[in-house]
Amino acid sequence: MEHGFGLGSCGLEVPTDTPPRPRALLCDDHTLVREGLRQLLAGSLDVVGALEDGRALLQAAEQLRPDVVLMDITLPQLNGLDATRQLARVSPNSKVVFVTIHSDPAYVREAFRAGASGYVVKTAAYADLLAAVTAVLDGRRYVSPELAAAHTDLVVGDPKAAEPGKLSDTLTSRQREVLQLVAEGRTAREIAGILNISRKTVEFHKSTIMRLLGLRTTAELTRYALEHGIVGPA
Amino acid sequence: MSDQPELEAARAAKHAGLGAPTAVRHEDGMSATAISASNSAPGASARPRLILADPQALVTEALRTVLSPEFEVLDAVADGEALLASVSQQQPDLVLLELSLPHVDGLDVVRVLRARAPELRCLFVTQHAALHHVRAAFAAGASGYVLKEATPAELREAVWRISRGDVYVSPKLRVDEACPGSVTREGSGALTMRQREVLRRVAEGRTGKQIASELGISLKTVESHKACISRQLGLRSTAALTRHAIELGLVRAVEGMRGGVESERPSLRAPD
Repeated sequence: MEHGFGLGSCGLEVPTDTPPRPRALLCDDHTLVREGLRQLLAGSLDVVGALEDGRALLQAAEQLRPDVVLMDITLPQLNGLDATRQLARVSPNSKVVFVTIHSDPAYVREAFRAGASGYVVKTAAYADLLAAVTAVLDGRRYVSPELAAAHTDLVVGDPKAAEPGKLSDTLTSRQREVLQLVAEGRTAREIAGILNISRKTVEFHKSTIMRLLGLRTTAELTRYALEHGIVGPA
Repeated sequence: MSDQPELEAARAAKHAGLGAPTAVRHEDGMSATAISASNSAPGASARPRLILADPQALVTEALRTVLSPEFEVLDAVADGEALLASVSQQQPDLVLLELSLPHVDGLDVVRVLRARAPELRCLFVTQHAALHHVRAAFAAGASGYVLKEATPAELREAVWRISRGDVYVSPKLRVDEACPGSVTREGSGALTMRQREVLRRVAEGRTGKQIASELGISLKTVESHKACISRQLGLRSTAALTRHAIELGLVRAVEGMRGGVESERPSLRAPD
């Protein structure tokens, strides 16, 4: 076991001369939640960063290579699912635990498919969060007990099992990035700046997305992104 | 619940204006019948005693962490019914609550509490940034409204101000005076029928020109409606307006491949 410690048993008191504590990154756009969790987790983990959007998270992860990333699914600029898919490239050894309001099993399946190892709903107790971190660092999968009890397939199911028709099959990674930024109300110029591509390329992606999804207007794209959990409600 | 006289009394004590910046004395906008508030609220100088209410336990844990030890957190609950019971038992100085609470909605909790315990202050700590929610909160009798994207320092400042009898609104949410009627209009809806007609069509993807011809008004009028709606709701883009229109139930989201996702979202009652 790479991390020879018992998070659950040692609780919040970790003597300073024990093996290094797991390094964690945290991402939630609600600052009050992020800061509160950062303080709580600091009792058991070495919290090396706390970010408020998916792009900032990826940048930090590439530099810091954390052992574990705790993040929300609904995040500005780049949602947690797409951030997790990209994390595999920039920091392949980081384990991902989602900490989210979404209790729909469709989200859980999509989360594991994207490469996450743990899924904790925000209605859970704080102890569940520590249990999730311990489990994923130990190479196991973790789902909040209340969800796992209702949907047994979530824990044992094959994350790579084909689920046809999912958005991640219809659109490329770059197209989903553009779709989220459009649905957040950003202009083509802003999107071009964020993605470091030309405005013309942004327009090209947008029209391709519309054609692929059979949608005609920005409003329809926005509704679609909302319906598919790419952005949260305004 | 609306047949309860205490709810009616609370409604009568609506806070009139929230356009003014943060330091409005609480009693200024309240009707004299419901409130005998003075700025010497009990516990204002001592460490204020709080109860937290949010359906997400991890959120109340996070809030408890950023509020302790500066404030005394007496209890943390997950729904409106439990909050009412806990307030009766613990007699806090302040309640921090989310708008969308199971069993008894946050706005109804505040109405009941204002009638039962006029000196008790209520502060919403919520993810909902649309201005009609802010107005509804103050109309129900809240003393403050802080977004979850606020910093811990801002939240602590809000709690101190409210304990002293002030009201507090996150700076991002202050009502733009440029839109006539938006400040003084009572109640939660805030949008006129015509504004709702325009908003629905915008969300359906109609162009300004199409909306103008459908409603028999000029393009300029459509654009002025749209600008006014944006200001009133505090939303800047067509995309944000669309998402809001879906939340209000004015339009349905596009039929999706993943059914049921929409129903999992925390829902607020539509205004009006």
